[in-house]
Amino acid sequence: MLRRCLDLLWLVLFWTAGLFILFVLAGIMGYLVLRGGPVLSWEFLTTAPRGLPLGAEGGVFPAIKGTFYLVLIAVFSAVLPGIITAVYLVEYAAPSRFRDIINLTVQCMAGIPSIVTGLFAYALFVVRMGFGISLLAGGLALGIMIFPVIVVTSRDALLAVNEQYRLVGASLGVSRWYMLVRVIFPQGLPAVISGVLLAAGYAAGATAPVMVTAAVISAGSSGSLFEPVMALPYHLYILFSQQISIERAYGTALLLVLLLLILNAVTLWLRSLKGKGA
Amino acid sequence: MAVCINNLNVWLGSAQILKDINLQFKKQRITAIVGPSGCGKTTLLRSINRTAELEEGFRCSGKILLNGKNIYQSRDVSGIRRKMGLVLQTPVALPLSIKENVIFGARYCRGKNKQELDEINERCLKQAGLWEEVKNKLNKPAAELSGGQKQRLSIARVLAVEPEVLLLDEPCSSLDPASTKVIEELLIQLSRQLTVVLVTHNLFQAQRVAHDTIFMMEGTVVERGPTGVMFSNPQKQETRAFFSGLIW
Repeated sequence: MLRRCLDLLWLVLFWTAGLFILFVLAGIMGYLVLRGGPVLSWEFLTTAPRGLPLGAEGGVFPAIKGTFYLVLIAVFSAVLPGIITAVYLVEYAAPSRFRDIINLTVQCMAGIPSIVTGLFAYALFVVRMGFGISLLAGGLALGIMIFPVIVVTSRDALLAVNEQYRLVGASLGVSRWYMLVRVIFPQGLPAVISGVLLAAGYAAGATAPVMVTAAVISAGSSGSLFEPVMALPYHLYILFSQQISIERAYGTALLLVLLLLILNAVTLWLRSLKGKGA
Repeated sequence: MAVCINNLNVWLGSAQILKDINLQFKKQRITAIVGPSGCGKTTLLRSINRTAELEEGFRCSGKILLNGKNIYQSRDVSGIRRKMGLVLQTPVALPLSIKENVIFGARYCRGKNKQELDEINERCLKQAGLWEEVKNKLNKPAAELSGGQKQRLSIARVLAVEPEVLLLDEPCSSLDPASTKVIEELLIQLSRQLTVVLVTHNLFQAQRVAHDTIFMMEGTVVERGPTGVMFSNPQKQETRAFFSGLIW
């Protein structure tokens, strides 16, 4: 009797916890749609901010463009080193102190507060290398921020590939590289790509590294590497911190969340493909 | 004598897995290795194939000779692994087509000559007794094959790199009796050209196919001899106990 009561208690507890998360999520989304929904329009998506103070009217098109470019640079700068590091850790590094140190370093890097990454990128790219407040500096700052995320997700993707394949490869006397290219990497690829997309979403939503290295209140976001850009999260921050236009802040927030939602949906879909290799 | 093992000791970390092993595997014969779980049979096979050393903490002493040459002194580890073909316990189909599975190793070491690879593919599938079943779907994913077919595919894949010795680690343990029978007949055929070493848990299987049988326990060879003699008149107490089902 007591056992059944306890069981029931646990069941209720778990359900409550699960429902609570759903409730919070639905609350955030619902509120954003309610407050920001009316602002979202074709005009909002395709025009530059106008009005006085700037942003009180008009749209966020340059911010969308700026965020797109920033994420593109971040992904391009971090993907190759990230995946190569993961391949090294999983396929090449023998169990050693050195490998443990690299693993630990990557883990610690993932824990660095993003504003500290921003400060570092500011000192290195903006000042030392003379890029100025620019798209390039911001993209690289985001690249540094997402590098550990890409390493960790790619590493886990490669580790998840059936260990027996490696043994078959080794016992046939083929090289690690041949095994990697023909079997391991194609098998891990969907999970690697989904990790990269997850990292891209992380970069798109990050404000701190961008606000000290790249973002300004108004810019054309032409795509030129050495000019400052607008960015969605920073625009959002300015709109509500300066009390410029609260509805537009909610509109921008809704847009950002929708973009991330789409990115995450694609990620989930890719993850479901894993292991279905022909 | 194809393979000759002298005073082989193997450690993984601080645990000694194999103790002072002395064995010979003869050409054109099937040798079965039987013994309780954890007695070092798999480690022995993988030491001969030189993949045991991929495990963390592997150390060994003694010699394993292939045609008189110590394989642990060879610099060409890949070459040794190809000569000592290893078939794993679980049937593994690489996530490629049936044909690409068969020529996986051959493509790596023989190059890309399509005609030659096609010939290897057909010859090895025929040798493994799988050709008739798959000849019309060579480009289909190998994952679609049944367990028994996958195991014959594994054998074909090993044959394609032209081994001198075929090492099989409980190849039938996950297969049904019909597939087991097919594989046993295949092994008898292959033993006309190769040295075959078969680790098995199934004493009847050893009796059916093996010319010689080795009984191992706790990392040592307890007794060995022609299969008929071993089963009808074992000399050691432990062997008798194992064969009568007292030790598992």
